[in-house]
Amino acid sequence: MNEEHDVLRELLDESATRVTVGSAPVEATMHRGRVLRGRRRAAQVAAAVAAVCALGFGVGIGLGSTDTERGAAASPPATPWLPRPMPPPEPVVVEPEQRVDLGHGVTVRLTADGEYATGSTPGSDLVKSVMGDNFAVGSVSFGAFGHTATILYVGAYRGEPPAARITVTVAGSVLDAQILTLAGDPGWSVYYVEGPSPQPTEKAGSPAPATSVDVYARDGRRLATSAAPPTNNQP
Amino acid sequence: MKTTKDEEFRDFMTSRWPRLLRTAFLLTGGHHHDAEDLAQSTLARVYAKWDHVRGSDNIDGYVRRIMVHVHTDRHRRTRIREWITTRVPETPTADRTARLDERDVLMTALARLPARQRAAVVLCYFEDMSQSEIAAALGVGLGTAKSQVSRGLAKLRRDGALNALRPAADITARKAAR
Repeated sequence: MNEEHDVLRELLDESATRVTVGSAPVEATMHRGRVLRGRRRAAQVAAAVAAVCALGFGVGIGLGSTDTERGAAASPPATPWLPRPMPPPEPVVVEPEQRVDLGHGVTVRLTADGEYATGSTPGSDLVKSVMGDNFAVGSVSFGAFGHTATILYVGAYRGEPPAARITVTVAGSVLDAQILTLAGDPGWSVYYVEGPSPQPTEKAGSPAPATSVDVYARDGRRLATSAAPPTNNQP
Repeated sequence: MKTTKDEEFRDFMTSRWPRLLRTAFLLTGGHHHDAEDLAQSTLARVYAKWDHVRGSDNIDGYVRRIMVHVHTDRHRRTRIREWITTRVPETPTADRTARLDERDVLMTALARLPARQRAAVVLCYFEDMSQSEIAAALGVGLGTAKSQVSRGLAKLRRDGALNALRPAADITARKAAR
């Protein structure tokens, strides 16, 4: 048994070293940390103000609003992400650092350094490097954002020739994604598209949702493909 | 303006980044980009409360605890999933050694574990944390932490991942005998 544990340790160690470690994104991380700190302080102030208000006006609030009304004020009802009209299939050239609205307040921006950042609040972006060591040439990444039945699919493609069409296949539908790229020949692009959730009621241990991404060249040749691996990330 | 605390954090992040990225890689079930997101989100939180973290008597343990919380929070709240593939159509696949296959089997099985069990296994066998440290990192009692490690191992065995380790165990034994 101990031998089994030793080998498990050894293999985990070897597996972990498969990650190519680039330079630490210190400045971007500190920027995000400052935003988090600011939010926490603002929340503390708001909580203090709310406590004072509750002391002074608690009775009035209790008489003046129903439970339903108070619940609605504290937590607005979630609005499902309704599909927007299909974006044009032609890639759109954007400026470096230009924020592109992907819907429901989520934005993406491409940087001249070969990174893209997605987020809903300026300063809280998730920055991902495409031209770094961990993103192989000829590969496509695939991410999903969303709480409801409609999901925003976002990812990046790195390679030559440039992507002319990217499709996301989910729940039996083939969706044409909008491609965003920088001017010139940057060697990478970002895509996004709204679509249905692959498996809203996924349970632990269930098979992977049938979702895939395909990247095509101008001549129709498939350049890369990505399929969801079997995984279960439920906490 | 650069402050001493910022410099401290900068040094801390630069020195810990490789190890944290590797831990994140295992926690996310082997997804490179997800691992970068997780490591960066964790360190952003660490920076946000750097005054508190730097005063801890076990900074690295504290940071691992934050990483586990960030990881479970991400999936609970936003259900963000991302993976990357290098599968290019019509590209011949390079021959793989048996050792590579074993790692692939293990990583696939690891990815199938529920997040908390995966975290328990990674903290135990990659980070070499004690059961009480794992319990603290997961925010659970000692018994639950032991159970998560044990169940994770059992699932890896059921998935065949640990059976695949037998040849590797033989290799290790042979190496030791030399």
